[in-house]
Amino acid sequence: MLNLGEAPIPFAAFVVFGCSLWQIFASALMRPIQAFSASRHLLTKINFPREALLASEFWKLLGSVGVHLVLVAVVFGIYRVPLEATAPLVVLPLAALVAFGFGLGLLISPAALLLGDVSNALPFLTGALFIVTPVVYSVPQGKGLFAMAVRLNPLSSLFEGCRELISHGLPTHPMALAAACGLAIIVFVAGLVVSRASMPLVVERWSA
Amino acid sequence: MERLNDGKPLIEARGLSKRFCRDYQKSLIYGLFDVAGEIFRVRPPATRLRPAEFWALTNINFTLNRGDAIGIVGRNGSGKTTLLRVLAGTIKPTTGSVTRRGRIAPMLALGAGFNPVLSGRENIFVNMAILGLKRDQIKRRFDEVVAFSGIEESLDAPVQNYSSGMVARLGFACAVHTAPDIMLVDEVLAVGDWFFQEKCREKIQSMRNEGTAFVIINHSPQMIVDSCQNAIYLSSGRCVAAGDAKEVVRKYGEDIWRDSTPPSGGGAVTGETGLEGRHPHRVSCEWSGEVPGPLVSGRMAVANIRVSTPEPLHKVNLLVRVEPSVEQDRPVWKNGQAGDASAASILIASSYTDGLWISELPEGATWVELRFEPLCLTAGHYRFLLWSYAHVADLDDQQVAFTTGYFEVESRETLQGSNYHQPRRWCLQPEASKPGAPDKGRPMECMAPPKP
Repeated sequence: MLNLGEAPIPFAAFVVFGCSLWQIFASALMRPIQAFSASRHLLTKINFPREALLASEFWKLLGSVGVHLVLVAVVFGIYRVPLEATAPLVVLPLAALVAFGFGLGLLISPAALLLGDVSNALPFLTGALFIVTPVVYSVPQGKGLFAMAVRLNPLSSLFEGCRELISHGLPTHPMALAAACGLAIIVFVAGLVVSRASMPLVVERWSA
Repeated sequence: MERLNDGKPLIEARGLSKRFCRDYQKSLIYGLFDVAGEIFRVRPPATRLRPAEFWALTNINFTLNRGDAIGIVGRNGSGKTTLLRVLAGTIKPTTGSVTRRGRIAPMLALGAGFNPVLSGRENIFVNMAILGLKRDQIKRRFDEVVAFSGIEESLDAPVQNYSSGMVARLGFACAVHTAPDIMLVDEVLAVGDWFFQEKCREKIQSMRNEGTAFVIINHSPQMIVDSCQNAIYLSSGRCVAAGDAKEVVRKYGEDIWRDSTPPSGGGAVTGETGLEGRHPHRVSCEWSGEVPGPLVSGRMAVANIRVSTPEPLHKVNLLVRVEPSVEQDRPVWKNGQAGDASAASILIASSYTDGLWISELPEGATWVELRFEPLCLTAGHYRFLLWSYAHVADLDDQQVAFTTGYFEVESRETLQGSNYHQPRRWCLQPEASKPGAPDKGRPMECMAPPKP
């Protein structure tokens, strides 16, 4: 039986918040690939800064983050979940979550755009990632293989950080959260570099 | 409209080479390797080809100055569009470098970048923004663009409801109103009605006068000669000739004639343009007089056309054109332009228009006789061109086979000076048998036709 932990907030609100965070991450992950493949005709015909597509997609992503946050706020209001004073700080791990997802998407976009197999495998891979991410459960404290996998997942720290800042106070594992944020920034920058270097070649394969 | 005007070239290409891969699977794997090499800066030497690769462009050098217009000619697959894409910057050269200065309006495909669900009005903003204009610049030119494209009435309809001609017009209008320094035009002006094409031509001319440089790909040699001073002739990715447009186009024409037409005896040449992977049919033609011997003006002559094909042909049309052979170095444009009688042709015969509907030719060889009874050409040297247009069973596309050669016509007439041989008889008749008068019998005396 899965240990749900002692959630200080009603389980429904807990799940809605967790699912919103996961949705934000998953949509950030897919956006770069969707943006490039939707503009395939443009990219092969006109030479323009490809970052423009990413920028536009990034703004759309922020919009969807806002929608998710409104949904979470409504559910929290219905269940009268008390908010901590640290709640506004949630934007930091949230930004890291978005950057991590977007950067990861950028990193895999060349392979996904060139090889149909990779983009077909993506739903399965994200499904597997979903299982080892504390979306509907708290971070397990045991010593089992599963608990290890969840704790090694950088998303866990980000999810935990978001939750704690909202309804607990300062994070209990600040170092892990800082490491996850740092990793997110590295992935984001690496994703931009890889995308910039690889898109000309992807466009070439498309037009050849 | 601020323009760069410091006398430096707008495009400078040095030693451009580009390799492509024919194998789709391999191309994707190479693509991933290239991406990795690009990121980690460990590129394998790009001077060698990996399996299944070929050079689409080899060592192209190129300078485009302000106000220049350069035409690119070459057969299909010779690398014209690849070169244009490299110049536009959509693909990177494998080796070599391109320096670009100024705004480029690529017209690799008109209306690329139109979002089908947005209205024409919205698409003008999107498209011109992609081409590098700011919002207020677009606003200032908006009315001009709409007026030029002539789609005022459909401006607020989604672009997916537009006809292809309307999309092309809007695309061209957007491209030219970005006031580009360089326009790259890849045979896009063929769409649109005649009226719009004329408008485009005028606009291009006025843009050239204002200093916009052009690189134009066009299959019509006339268009290249008309609009470009210089031309580049590509063959298998190599620059075969470059320089004065007339010279280059002439050389291109000669090569088309020579390449595809290996000599086959008697100075005749043949050729064919099949579809890739098919064995095309071939035609040859020999001329003969009444008896084996020279062709004589006023006597019978036969063009013996031999069509050989490895598979049955359908809907065959044979087209013979005769012209004086003095212009031997004039290029032959063998595809589709045979019926263009504007050149020096003096005789054209088409089996289809003459009522011979060859619906099917079996595989193997078939002889078709084209009889001239009599031959009305005067004495002289002639060149003939023979095209055979045919369909292969399962394909809609036409195959074209072509041959050309020379023949000579002699004349036995003593008095020269006619443009053609007119079969004629002289008759002497009494007053009574004049037209209108009652017939009083046969003419008294009648000269036989002049004995040639």
